[in-house]
Amino acid sequence: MKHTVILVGADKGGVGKTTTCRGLLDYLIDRNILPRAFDTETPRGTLQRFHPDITEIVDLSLTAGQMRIIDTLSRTDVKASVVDVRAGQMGRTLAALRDMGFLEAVAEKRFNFIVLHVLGPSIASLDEIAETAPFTSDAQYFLVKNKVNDTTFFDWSPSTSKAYFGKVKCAGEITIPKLNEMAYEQVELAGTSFSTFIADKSRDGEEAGHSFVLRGYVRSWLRSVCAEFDRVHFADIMTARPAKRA
Amino acid sequence: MRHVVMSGWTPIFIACGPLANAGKTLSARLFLEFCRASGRSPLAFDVNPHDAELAAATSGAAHIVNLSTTAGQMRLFEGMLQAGPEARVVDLWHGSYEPFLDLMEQMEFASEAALRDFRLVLLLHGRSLEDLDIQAEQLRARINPAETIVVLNEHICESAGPSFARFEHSLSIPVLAPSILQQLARMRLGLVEGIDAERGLPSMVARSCLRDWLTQIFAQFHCIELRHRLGATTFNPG
Repeated sequence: MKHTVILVGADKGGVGKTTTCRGLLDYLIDRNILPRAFDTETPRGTLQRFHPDITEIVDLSLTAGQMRIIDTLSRTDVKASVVDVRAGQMGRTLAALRDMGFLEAVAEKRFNFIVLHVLGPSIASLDEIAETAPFTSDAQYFLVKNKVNDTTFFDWSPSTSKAYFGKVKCAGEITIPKLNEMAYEQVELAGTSFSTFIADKSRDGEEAGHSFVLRGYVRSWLRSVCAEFDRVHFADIMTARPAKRA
Repeated sequence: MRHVVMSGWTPIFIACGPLANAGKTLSARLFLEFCRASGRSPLAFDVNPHDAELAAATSGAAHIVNLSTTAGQMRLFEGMLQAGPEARVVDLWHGSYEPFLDLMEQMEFASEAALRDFRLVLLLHGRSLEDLDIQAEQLRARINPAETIVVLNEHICESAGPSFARFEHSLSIPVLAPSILQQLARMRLGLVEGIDAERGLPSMVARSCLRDWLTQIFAQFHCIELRHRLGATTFNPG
């Protein structure tokens, strides 16, 4: 199994990149694909609060941060690296990956590369798609609509949609469904992964005494999230056999 | 000496059904009074925030719950599962029937209840045999593990009679003169209170009718209880 780098990004803050990462990490663990994660919200990190054991905070604008991710791809037993890209850094990160030769390695099929582009609710988000297009020709590129907080998305007309989506090779669209507000808030307060919350455990592994009802909401929400990733054959893309190198 | 010990019995009785005026509140009230008459105080929930009849008929003994809010859902589902030996009784408003079942499934409530040693008993109400047949089948498929008991309330299903034998478990509520129920309501008396010679119904005949009626129904609750307790006996080698 090749190592897969999954970039989760958006050019706008507050669209749900970290929530998408959190759902994705739970999905990968559930599908027996052990992931590691990189939180680029330096210095404090957001993702790390929920997945402290597998998340490292890195500064992707520094060479050292880039090395921390890319130079360890061949060394690690872990087969998936999820990178939560800081808001506004998507284009810059993709350019850096190109400049360091990672995209070339992807073209040579040495690594899998998946980009999850989390869209904002406005049409301005569509401009981001065009900006990322030059870097994603060999990637599996997914658009993500995050409706976890009941966001309503701009209804694209066919011509608008074609104007933007014609520029990228899109592997599919993933919708993160709405989660009950109180349940979402409680997981935030608990500071654990969604699956840990469902299992009624605290960060220390102790029994947490979370609400049965809220755990139920999170459980069925996470099932829907996993079903969405399965629908686009996410795990299959990652577990595909590597091509033989010449 | 070797002997067999009957298991504990912590039931969650849910009076439910998709139709209005099918006798759900009466069944819930009867079970609540059965528990009280047996010296146990059940936890009761009235899931009709618009017209909380069970709460009114039991002098506020039932918590009123609005299932359309997350807080209400937490109050009900977590209340039903809270630790303690008290029986639980729920009077489920017909308007909340489907959302309630959806939530039960979504939260895997039946499995969680079984895990915590609660017995889930669904008292299914309806007006026609055909509807009850379909609803009972659906309940069995959706909520598991649970026992579905079809309620033959003769105030509502007059002509059903022996056809109810087709159901594995049923509860028969015979007719009680409406005037007795009305008088109990007027005097703000509980069903069991009504048979008390000093503080109950003034008419000896009415008290006698009420006592016979309650005896028939309470005997069935007792049978249900015994069936569950004996069904889960544990062998004690002594």
